[in-house]
Amino acid sequence: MANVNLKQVVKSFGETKVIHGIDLDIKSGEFVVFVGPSGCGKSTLLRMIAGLETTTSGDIMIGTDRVNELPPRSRDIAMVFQDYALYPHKSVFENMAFGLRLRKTPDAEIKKRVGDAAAILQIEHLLERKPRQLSGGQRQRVAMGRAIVRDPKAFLFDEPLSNLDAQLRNEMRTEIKKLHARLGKTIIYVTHDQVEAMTLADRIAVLSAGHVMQYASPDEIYNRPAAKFVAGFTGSPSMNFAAATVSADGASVVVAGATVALGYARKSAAGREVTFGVRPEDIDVGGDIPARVVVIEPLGAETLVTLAIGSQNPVEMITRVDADTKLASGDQIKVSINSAKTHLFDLKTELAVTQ
Amino acid sequence: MKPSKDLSERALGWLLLAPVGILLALIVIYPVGQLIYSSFFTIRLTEPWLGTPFVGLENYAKAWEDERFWGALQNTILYIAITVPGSLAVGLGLAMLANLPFKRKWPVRLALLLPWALPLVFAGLIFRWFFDFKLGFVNDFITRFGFDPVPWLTNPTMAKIAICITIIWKSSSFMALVLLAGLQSIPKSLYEAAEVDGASKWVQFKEITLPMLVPAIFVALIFRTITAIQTFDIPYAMTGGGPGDSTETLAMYIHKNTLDFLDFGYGSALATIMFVVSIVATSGYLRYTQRSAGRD
Repeated sequence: MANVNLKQVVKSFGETKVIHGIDLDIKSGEFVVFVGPSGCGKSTLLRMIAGLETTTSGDIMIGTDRVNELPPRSRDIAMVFQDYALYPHKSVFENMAFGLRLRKTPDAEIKKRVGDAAAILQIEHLLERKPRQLSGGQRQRVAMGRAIVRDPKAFLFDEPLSNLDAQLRNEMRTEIKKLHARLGKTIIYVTHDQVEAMTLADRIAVLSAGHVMQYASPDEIYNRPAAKFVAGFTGSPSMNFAAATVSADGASVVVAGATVALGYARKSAAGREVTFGVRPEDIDVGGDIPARVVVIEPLGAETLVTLAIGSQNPVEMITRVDADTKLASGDQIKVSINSAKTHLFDLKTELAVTQ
Repeated sequence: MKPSKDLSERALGWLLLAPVGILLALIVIYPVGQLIYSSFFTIRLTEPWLGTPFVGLENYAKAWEDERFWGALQNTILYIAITVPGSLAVGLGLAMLANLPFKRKWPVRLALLLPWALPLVFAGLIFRWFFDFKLGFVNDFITRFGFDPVPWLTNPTMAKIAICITIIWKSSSFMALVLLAGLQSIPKSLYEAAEVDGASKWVQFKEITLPMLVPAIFVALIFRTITAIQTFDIPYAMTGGGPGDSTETLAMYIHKNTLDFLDFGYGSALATIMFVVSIVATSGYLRYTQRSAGRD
């Protein structure tokens, strides 16, 4: 078990820079998720930690060792691939034992370790089978088993659940979380799915175009997004945005003709145009802001309602309401916005305005 | 209604199969049937007064006692035994070379395709010049290092070596093409997983590349073996079967009997023997692949 540190890590393919000087510290035993849209560099960064991609500049430290020049096999890491990368001609047992055999582990020890890992993952009955005789979920378990038996310093997961159907993905997500609790190992996990990131991570690194936009706990990411990109990437449905003007004292904003009080004053933005943001659950039915119901989408447990909010040039925003709230499209209603949960973003830098 | 529908579907099936069936009958079944039929007769165009009497297995009995036939068969088997594994090894090497991440892939592919695209007789003639005692490139090369020139095409043993080298050069590119297709179907992530697992390049080759290449190797071996059984053009162009008949193959001897000696009955019997050898050799491969497919 070890911490992983990235210092000013850069990756270029020829002239094209894809990772722009990233600094991250990952504590020993921590579960860190790299999340971002496709092409943001998250998988490249993970593969650089694994040693499957070279590092153009900067330092990658695993434990106390700088591993930039080490091949993957010398970094003492294990990796779970998106397509599982199981050896098709080897049995499940041999797939899991391969890394141990290469490290000249005695047979008895191999048997014990594979047996233990198989027990944890409930795949003991599959050990003699070939990968193609397994379902997607079982293959996923074998791929994780192959990582576990090695007892490495850190586990790297590259979008491990994206080939599974929705239900299985939820199940395996829980399994992975349990596994982390049980093994207490450092895990670096890449996904484009913000739900996976939010549910699994101790800390999330949100990446965009080769930059870390924010590196913080899920709670921090969700409730105090450092940038408009982070705010828009997390939550489902994502945060509502609208153009707004901050009042002269910085304590409120005007959105589509309606005045919304802020949780605290942003003096630095007083009188300026900004982007206003509020999450769907922070808009409540009842209040003094006029709104018209545009679309109603019942989800069973709750209902998503698209509203046109404001008196002049109304802006569309989505809110969540209880399933038993009686609304019909076209209804004219009044809503309120939870001041404490309002966000402002600079128009140019798109960073959060916090002062 | 249902039975008639089944019937019409079945009829449609036969109808759709018919063109292939007719084609096969015309270009395979009829000629092979005619060949086997002819092998039971004496058909000697040089002695038309004999007529074409039925002689039963006499032509086969003649082959049994024909030393030149056994010599040709022995040479053919030797060429198979050396050039099939030889071109597999060279072809695998070339395929792995071509599979490296080159910036420009087309020059490599072209280099790979060229020997394959070259007509066999051309290859034979080119290498005949290469191995020429006085003017050849090979002797020029080895004499520069102080060795004596080698009578490549006039010494029976050296001639066989020269022919095998030429066949391997010519047929390796086909092997390489088949194996390259196999190599490219192996997912890259398997190598990455093995890399992380701790496998060296050699272990990756042994534990991933080779086992995953087995189906492609079998396909390549079947095709190569069939063409090796029929070896004709290259020895024909290089040595014409000589010195004496020391490098003659079965196909060359059949050609000689039918087209030079105009003995169609005996030639047909020899060709039938070659046909049986081909069937036996390939069915062996096919049985093995079917068994391993069933085991999987």
